[in-house]
Amino acid sequence: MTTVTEKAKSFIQVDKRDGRLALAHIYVAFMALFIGGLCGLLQVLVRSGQFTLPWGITYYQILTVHGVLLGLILTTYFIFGFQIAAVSRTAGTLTDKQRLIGWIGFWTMTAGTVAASIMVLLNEASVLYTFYAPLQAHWIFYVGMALVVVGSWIGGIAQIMKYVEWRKANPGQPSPLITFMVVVNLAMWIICSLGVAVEVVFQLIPWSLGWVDKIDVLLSRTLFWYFGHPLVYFWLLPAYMVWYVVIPKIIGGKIFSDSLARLSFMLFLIFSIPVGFHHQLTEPGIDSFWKFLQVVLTMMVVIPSLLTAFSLFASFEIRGRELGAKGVFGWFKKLPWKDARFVVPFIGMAAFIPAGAGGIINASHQMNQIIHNTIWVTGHFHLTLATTVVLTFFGAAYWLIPHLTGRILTKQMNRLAIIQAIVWAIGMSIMSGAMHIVGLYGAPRRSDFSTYGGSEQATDWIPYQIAQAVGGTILFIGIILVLYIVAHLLWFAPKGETEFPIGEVSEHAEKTPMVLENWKIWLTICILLILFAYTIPVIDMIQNAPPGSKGYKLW
Amino acid sequence: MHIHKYEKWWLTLGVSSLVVFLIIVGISAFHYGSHPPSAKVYIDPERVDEIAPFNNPGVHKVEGKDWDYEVVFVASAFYYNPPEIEVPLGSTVKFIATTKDVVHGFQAAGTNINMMLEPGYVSEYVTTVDKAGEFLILCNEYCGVGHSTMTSMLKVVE
Amino acid sequence: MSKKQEKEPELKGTLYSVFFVGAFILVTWFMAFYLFIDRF
Repeated sequence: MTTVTEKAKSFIQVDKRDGRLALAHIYVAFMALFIGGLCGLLQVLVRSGQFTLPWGITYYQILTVHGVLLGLILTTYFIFGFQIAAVSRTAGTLTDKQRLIGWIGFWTMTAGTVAASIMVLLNEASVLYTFYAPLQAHWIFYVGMALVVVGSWIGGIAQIMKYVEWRKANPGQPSPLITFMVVVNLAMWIICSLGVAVEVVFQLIPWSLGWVDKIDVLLSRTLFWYFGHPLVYFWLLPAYMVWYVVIPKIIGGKIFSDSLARLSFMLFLIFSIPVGFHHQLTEPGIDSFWKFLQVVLTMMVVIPSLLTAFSLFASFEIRGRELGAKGVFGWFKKLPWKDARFVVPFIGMAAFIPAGAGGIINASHQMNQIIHNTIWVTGHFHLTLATTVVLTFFGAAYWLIPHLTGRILTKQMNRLAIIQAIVWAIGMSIMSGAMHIVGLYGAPRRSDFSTYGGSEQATDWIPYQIAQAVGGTILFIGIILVLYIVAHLLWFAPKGETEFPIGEVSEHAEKTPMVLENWKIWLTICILLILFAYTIPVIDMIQNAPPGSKGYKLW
Repeated sequence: MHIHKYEKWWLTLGVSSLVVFLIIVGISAFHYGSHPPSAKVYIDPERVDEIAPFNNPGVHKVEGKDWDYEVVFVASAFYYNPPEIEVPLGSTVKFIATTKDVVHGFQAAGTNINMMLEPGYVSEYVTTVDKAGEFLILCNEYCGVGHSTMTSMLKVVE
Repeated sequence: MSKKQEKEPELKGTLYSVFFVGAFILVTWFMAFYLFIDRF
């Protein structure tokens, strides 16, 4: 039993100045959630066929806002807020220089976000968050996007600098697990976002400024998807950080295996990037051989998730048995089902089962033809990103925000948080379920309401779109609920001390082999795999490039 | 690094399943020819209407090839030419399509015919149409304000 | 104090849970595969 002094020593509070930097990111994240979520509501209402947008706003403008604000801004900002706090909590308070760099990164990203958003609101950039050429947005939109990426590099460097400082001060020691995971995520992010940076800076900006007339469309798409797949792991890995490091502490248990956790993250580093072709499986100009090779690599990136599933169940079972659970599944009942900090991320974990299964189907080479660009894909990423990742982030916010604001999560807010997650799960089951089914029937994604010339097949899709509207409306209620809780935790909750839970490794675990922190080896493998998967097909694409395309503004 | 025996069983099951998936799709592709559409045929996107076969869109019976019909489509914002095609049930059909402007999708709903049309590239797909019926062809890649009005119709007739 | 020969933790529940996940993946994949084979 811990004494008062032990307890006082073991409560680690993130430094207020680092907390302010983290909170700035969290503010932007939740603002993006509100606006992006509102757009989502409008979208499902339009697609039910029962609602038209006012004031000359177009569906594709709204869709662009939805994708950019939720897929790029909510995510990146929440992740950075979380990561900054986690690094400060476990590797030590940032130095003034590191924090300043963090702020420069924040403001650079925010300037870019504002610039890009204004262009979209002015209907100058209704190109969706993938901004595929030769649809051509206003150059300020692309500059805004470039600033978001560059700003993220700057902010990321601040976090990496803290890690480097820790390693110099603690030679031969494995770094704090969550800091290590943050750095793996940032390494992956920087390596992959170089691709989209090249596309934006060297192709899209000169082309949209009129400095060059034509653009190589296939190359631009390839650079985007070189970035676009690891992007989803950039979103997923912070959720895994919560599951591996925070959840064990919340349930009162220990981290199942520090080594396996680090191994899974290094496997993500090497396998998340050389797989972009599985988003381009139905495109011309790329050999089936290279598509299949990247499909093989894609199946390999499933493996660290299989490792994670085992680790999580094991940490639950070990803790449950410690509490006296008997039988094969008795431990399940012993989990803290009244604690939102556990329940909300747990629903996210459960959603990852159908989410991951769907992803494996999507990546299965020619089987992709069943679902490519149908609304099944939208159903898929509303499970992976909008449920697994987002609910885990909400669950983390319920201790992170009060920890940083010096407040507490009250019993009522805790209960409301669980209700919010259930509302979310119901809304998402209906919406994503309908999307998966009707996508198999061929209903397309990214499409305004249409009767497709009265086609019988298209008429059969409409009831599913109505179901999507029902689900989407319930989800929007969920958004209002989470914003209410977050506002409470930011400004109105009672003052107090909230723990930033960081799990400890089990005493029975072995020492972590330092090879798992040997950046030279893992980064080399990462780069070699990228070169292996991409060099020949990209050279082929450049050498055989047909005449490029001029820009089109078709909205 | 110590790994629990059950984790070894799980990883064995998991990795074997992934290998089985890869073998199935790999054999289907490389032995039976069921590749995802991956044509490497190039065209000047600004002269599509002048260049064969796109100067004559529609259904064409062919001889001496591994397929019975070639169906040529030209896509543009926001139209497929031809807006309707008919092929006999059981025939082997090669779809050949390109775009004159931006990236479009080309999907026959309820079938595996699903390919991206990219300016400068010709997209091709061969299949045997073994079900009768009318299949809506639609654009599934955002191409502008008229995106959800771009349709054609594949009729497979007895 | 840790023993020299550690007994492996009892993880039957974990085994069955991950096997359920595996079964889910296998079943859904083969359903999709069947759909692909059936369609033209």
